[in-house]
Amino acid sequence: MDFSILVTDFWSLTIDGIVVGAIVALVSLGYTLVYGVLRLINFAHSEIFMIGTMTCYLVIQQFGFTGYEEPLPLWKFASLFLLFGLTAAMVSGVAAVILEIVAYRRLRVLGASRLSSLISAIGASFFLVEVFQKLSGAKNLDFPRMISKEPIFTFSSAYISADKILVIVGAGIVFYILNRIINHTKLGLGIRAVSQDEKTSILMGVNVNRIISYTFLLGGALAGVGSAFYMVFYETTKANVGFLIGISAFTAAVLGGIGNVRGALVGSFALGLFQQYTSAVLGYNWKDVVTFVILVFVLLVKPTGLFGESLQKARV
Amino acid sequence: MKKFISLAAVSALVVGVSVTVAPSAFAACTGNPAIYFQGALTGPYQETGINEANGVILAIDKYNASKPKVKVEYKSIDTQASGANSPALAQKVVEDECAIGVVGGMYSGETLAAVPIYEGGKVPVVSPSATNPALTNKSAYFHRVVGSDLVQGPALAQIAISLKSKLFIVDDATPYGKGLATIVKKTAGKIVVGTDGVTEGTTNFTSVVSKVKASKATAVFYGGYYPEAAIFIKALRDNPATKNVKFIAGDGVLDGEYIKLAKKNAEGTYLTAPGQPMEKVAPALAAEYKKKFNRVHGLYTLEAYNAAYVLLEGIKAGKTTRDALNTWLGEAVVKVNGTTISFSATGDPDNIVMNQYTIKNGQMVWVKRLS
Repeated sequence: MDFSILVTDFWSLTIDGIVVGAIVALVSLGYTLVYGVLRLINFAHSEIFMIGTMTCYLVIQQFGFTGYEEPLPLWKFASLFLLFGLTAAMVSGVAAVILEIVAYRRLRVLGASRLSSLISAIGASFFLVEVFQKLSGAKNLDFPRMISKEPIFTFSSAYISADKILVIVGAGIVFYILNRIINHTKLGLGIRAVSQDEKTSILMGVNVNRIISYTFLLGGALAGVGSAFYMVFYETTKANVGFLIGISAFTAAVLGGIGNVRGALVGSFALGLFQQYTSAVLGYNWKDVVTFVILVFVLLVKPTGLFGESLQKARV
Repeated sequence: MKKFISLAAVSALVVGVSVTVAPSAFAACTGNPAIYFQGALTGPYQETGINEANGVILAIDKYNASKPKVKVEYKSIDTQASGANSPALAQKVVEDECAIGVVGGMYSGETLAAVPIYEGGKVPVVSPSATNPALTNKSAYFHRVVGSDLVQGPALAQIAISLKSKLFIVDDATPYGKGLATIVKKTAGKIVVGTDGVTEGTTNFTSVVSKVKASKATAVFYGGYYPEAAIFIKALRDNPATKNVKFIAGDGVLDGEYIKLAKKNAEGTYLTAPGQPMEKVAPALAAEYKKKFNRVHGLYTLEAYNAAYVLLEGIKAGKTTRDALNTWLGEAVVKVNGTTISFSATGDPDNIVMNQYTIKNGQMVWVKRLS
């Protein structure tokens, strides 16, 4: 155990933690939004993220990039990033809506138990992973370097490169837009209404099915944007890429209080930073051990998570 | 529900019992005997697997073309190199009455998991590339044509020592990766300045890079396979503080796919393998391979060919049952492609080679023979 690394490399670990946290947060929001309206853990959400990464990969393939080394000029990168980022957001969003219609809606209409929906979610997750294993040959798919990773400036021990700035600033903008949608639009009002009380919102004339579809669309699109950042930062994907990040994102959502948007954000950044610190001090393989000990501890003290409010009503 | 569960349990038990009885039915094979290949034909490790499988196919096709008394069929099980998949697939081989021998497994983990099953069915196994020391003396039915990591580990440590490096060791927690890293660490001794372990499949190496940087290491050893190694070397090269560290790894990283994924970052990697450079040792066979499969051979293509060749020599000598073939393997001395293959009582080869390789201009290049 070497605590001196926390002093010598504090800022480099922190910046990396924030980058990881930002990507996790974009996935985590999907879990929390869907939980808010449906009281369902959408376990297939990690695969919606995976579909996003695959979309980025395919879009870039269309341009004939075969993994060359020289980063692109900024304007070219920016336009390409917008292109594959928005396409991934769209594809992931639509995939999430289709997932809801195929795997959950019928069960909900027939009044099946939440357990059935949960099993259906896990089944959908396996189905998607296996299908993409087949399609991709279960290989690691390599994403070309599109933006220079040379440090632009140094901040204490941290090297700040363009890709890290992109992820942090980009995610910040997305969070701001999401905040506007949730708090200042009719759709947001509908999502909040259904989250608070489904029956009453029906009586108030809210079209619950439509709100649920939109929520899946929103959560999927966020995961799609997250996947674009992921591809730029990590430059690789595979059919089961969603597994590890899905667990992180789900944990972050529970840590912050599932169903709570702000909670998911705080939970994700806390998790990202915490994992970075623990893996540096104790070793990479310890990070999940410590993370889950903390999670259990937080839930013991505060069962609703750090910011939780909707879990109480959600006792199944 | 309860009733259903107990019914399911009973039927599972019945299936299990019938499965374990099956091997004795071997004599019932009506077709030609079959040699199986065990390895990854799909999945992230398929490059190495396909190169080995093709080596086996080449050996069998050449054998069949020589108009032997008993023709041999090629069959395969695709484990994706996972120890979780290999036991059930090995069971399939055991139950195949015509299965007479196995070339495989390709990696240590899947082999360790499958060998007890093969032993239960008395199927002789010759691995072309599983190097974990735990396989030595594992079973009377297990053999391999390559030396174990007890040879490779010290060779790797020696490279680090000769580079006068401060060494940081990372492993991927697999039997192969962790095993090799432990041996390297032990041999490298004082020059080791830090260690860390990751999990197979990880993409986030940022914290490991921070640790390498903090340790002021000048060389990094990675015990693991090429998909993660490619991501790791990229992360190291992207950080100005670790940009110039020397990267050392074993045979699990030595694959064309490593070059494809890591690109120019792979250049200059220090690599070892108990496998021979086919283009130097058996150029004619390498050309034949290229013509037949329309691709260049990989590391262990030659070893897979040789492993299959040994089994085929046994069949040629009239050993057409599993037991007879296995007994024959214990005594056989087979000369093939310039090497003499014979197995000690532990299943390891008597003749062990270790080679050093590197990556130069996007190609795998043989450097020198280490032992």
